[in-house]
Amino acid sequence: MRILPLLSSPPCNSPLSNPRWALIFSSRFLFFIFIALFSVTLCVPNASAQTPEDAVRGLARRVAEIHDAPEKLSVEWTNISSLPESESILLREAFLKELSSRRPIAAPEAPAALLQVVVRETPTDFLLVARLPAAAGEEVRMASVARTAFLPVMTRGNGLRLAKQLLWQQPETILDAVEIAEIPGNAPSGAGTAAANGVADIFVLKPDALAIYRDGEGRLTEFQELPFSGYKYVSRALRGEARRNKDGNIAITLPGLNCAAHGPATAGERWSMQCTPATLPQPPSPATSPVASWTPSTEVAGEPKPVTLTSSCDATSWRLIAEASDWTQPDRLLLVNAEMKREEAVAALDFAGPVRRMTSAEDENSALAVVFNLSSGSYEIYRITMVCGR
Amino acid sequence: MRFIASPWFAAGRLFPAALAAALACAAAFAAPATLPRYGGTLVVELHAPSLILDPAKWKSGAPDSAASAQIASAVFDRLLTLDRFGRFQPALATEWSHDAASRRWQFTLRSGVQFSDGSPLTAADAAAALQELFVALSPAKPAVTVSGARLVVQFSSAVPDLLEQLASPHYFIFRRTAAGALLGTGPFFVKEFIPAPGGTAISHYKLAANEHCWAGRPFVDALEVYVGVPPLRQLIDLQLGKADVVEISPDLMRRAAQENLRVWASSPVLLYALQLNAEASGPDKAGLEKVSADQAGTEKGGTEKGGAGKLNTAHATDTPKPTLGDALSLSLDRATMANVLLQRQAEPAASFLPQWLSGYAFVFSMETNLERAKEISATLFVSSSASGASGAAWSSPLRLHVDAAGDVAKLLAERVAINARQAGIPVQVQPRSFARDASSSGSTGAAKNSDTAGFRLISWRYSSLSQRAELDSMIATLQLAPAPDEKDKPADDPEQLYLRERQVIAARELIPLVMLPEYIGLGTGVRDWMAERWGEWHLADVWLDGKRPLSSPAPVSTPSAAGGVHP
Repeated sequence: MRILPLLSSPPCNSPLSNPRWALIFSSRFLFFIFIALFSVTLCVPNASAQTPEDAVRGLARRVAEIHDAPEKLSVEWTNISSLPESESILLREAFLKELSSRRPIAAPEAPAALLQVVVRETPTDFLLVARLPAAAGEEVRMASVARTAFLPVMTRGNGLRLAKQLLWQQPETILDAVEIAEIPGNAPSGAGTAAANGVADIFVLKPDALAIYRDGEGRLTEFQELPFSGYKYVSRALRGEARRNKDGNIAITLPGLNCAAHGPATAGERWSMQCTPATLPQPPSPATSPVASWTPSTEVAGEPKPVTLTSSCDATSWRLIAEASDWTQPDRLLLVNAEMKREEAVAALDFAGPVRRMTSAEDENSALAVVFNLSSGSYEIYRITMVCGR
Repeated sequence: MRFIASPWFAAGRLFPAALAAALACAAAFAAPATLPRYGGTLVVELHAPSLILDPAKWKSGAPDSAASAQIASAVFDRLLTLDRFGRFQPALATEWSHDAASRRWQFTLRSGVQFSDGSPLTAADAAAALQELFVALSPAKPAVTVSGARLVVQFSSAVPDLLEQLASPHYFIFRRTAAGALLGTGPFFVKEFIPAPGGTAISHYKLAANEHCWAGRPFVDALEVYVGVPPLRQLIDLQLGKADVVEISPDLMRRAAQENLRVWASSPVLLYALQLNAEASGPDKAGLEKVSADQAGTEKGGTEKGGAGKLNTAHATDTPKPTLGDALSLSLDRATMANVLLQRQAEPAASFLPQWLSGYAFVFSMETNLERAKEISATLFVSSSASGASGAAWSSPLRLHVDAAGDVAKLLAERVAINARQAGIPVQVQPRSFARDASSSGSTGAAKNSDTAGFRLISWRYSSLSQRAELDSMIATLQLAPAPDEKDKPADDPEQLYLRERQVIAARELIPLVMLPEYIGLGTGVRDWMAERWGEWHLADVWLDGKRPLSSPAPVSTPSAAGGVHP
């Protein structure tokens, strides 16, 4: 394809002063715009992807166009899928709003043709199936919405204060999380617990970076991300640990990599990080070693070890332990004291997936738990606190 | 968590080592149970008579190919995978994009990936494998080329569901060596194949962990896969702790429940259906000629066209008349088949694609109306008063050839015959021959015009995550007539696909009966069995907690073809 020299100077004076050149210039300009738009279309395949609300509105319009059916409709909306009910309600409202602008909607008890809308799912999509009885038989219309359209977005939980508070969720893997309150310039040292004043920074260890999220007006916002440049994370066991050292730095241990993140001296500065490769132990020969107890990286902790919690009411010390047997099961955290067995736990917290990591805050008044939500497929960070009384 | 004694520890070589092991033991007791553990050998038993680990040789819809694909997924990787939350996850490809028309797709290959023999995976390897698989599996034969580290797949028409297809079991990336072996990049490689000893049918594959797997070493050290194991023996081996993962046939599910065994079930992945030929099922053909030709005891010249004189061939071409397919379908009591015959281990099927795959299968319904079936049956043949040959049309029963393997197929066939007889259609079940059992790894794909044409009980194992590709594959393999208005249209959206499936169902060339899930029995020591609901296993993520006594992998012979798989 030959590209016309749009930017070269036209002969004579200003091209637009000459009607002939103005015509050529404008046609070239339009051609350029066309090429640019075409290129954008090629390069951005998802540019035309519609939102879930667009999809249901389109479905409503197509249902409204069914002329073979009674004019007045009553709508029965059913969600038989893993779509969260809150999302289903939003879609239903968008559907009804669009449909009611085109066809009269009857009250539930009023006589009218019943339009059944069912939300189902496939491996990749949520499918909305609208069924309407018509003179020539049932009319069926469908619309699909990618399941990825409902992936979790950044949230700050505020309704789980009894025992757990959702701090963060993301579809990407989280290996560990640390909460630190006394960041220079963020909160004065000794200003109280992170949970109490809500000014803590959350350090989220991912396979490719350490992300730092900072509290800002009730929402966590990304403050900084420190990538592990040139490092390739390989571990099926999702091993990785971040912990705060006594010197205030964050020590990171990954399979084959050790890093130290150094905090800023003042509020205006940012974190820095140095990493050094770590040697992985070689697998022993199966014929000479206990195959059942070998792990490829023994120095990297990966299990949710029990953490200590201190009651803010009476300063008694407790332990938080996980209960699940493997990563396919929803987990439960149990609160026990030093003498108690699991069966004697005084409190329990249920989660929608396995608890993969737990870390205790420095003051031991709270703990962070990294959970893989089996329903949504997201990794979640919860702050666990003990609540006095009910 | 239990400490696992090992030969190494039992030998008690050195005190420090014993002390270290004791500390490790204590740590194991103290640690929460969510920590996966490395080591051990996972024993898998399969009913399929053999494994074919060459994806290009798999038959669409064949249940035995599905068993091979499960093991192949431990040896090979795909460009990408689909997780249970509907997200395409990078595997051998780290990025992908397509043009606005979904004709040209580009995939960026992951760097640093090695085959099990240590040689690097190149874009040319991936392109060659994909090209071979597209030729074998896909009606659209795209051109797969290499551009730097990228694969470029160019179709002549839009293929918006390519990612779903590439995430399906068939599309593994491999390298075919000069010796004919296949190399994979997956978490295991085949180390040894032990053929079935004389007098038995159980052969044995030994797979070893690929220490250099790009996605990380698998948790277990080795897989031992036994094939050709009868269902009852699998169940007993599971109970005795000789096997960790076994297939449980639906007729043994009640026993498995009584024995309190751990059983995992997929979504319905296996369809049983009746296949009629087009002439018998079509709405406006001189229908039953071919069916009559297949009647048992054609001693009266039933194979001749003249035999059709007994049949009602006066179908008007403009108004579809009920057919044998309609009569059969109306006669079938699918609920009884699923709930009584198969003890609630199956679902009545009204569609070709399962609900979990299409999302719309619930819209279809299959009516059971014995009276209507009788009426149609009667109208299909000239009345005795007109022909003067009372009952001559049904003097010999129709043959129902059982192409599907297993006891479930036999049970279903007998029930179909009973239902058909109740509707006035005599049917004689023709069991699957031993020769067919031995020679065929699948139950599908038989030519419709073979000597078993006309009326067959088949099974179909779903293998694609693309609804369109699965339906296309079914139509092509079973040689079903595409819907006349839809055959040239790509079914880009579910509504088009629904209309297409509805038309093919209405043609009554294939009458769905029931759908069954896959049942997998798991040993008590098996952890993190995170199989997908569409039946795909993830053996690399499974670990053993040591409740079953573990043994070190037995010494194996020199790996053949540098860890390759002989197809």
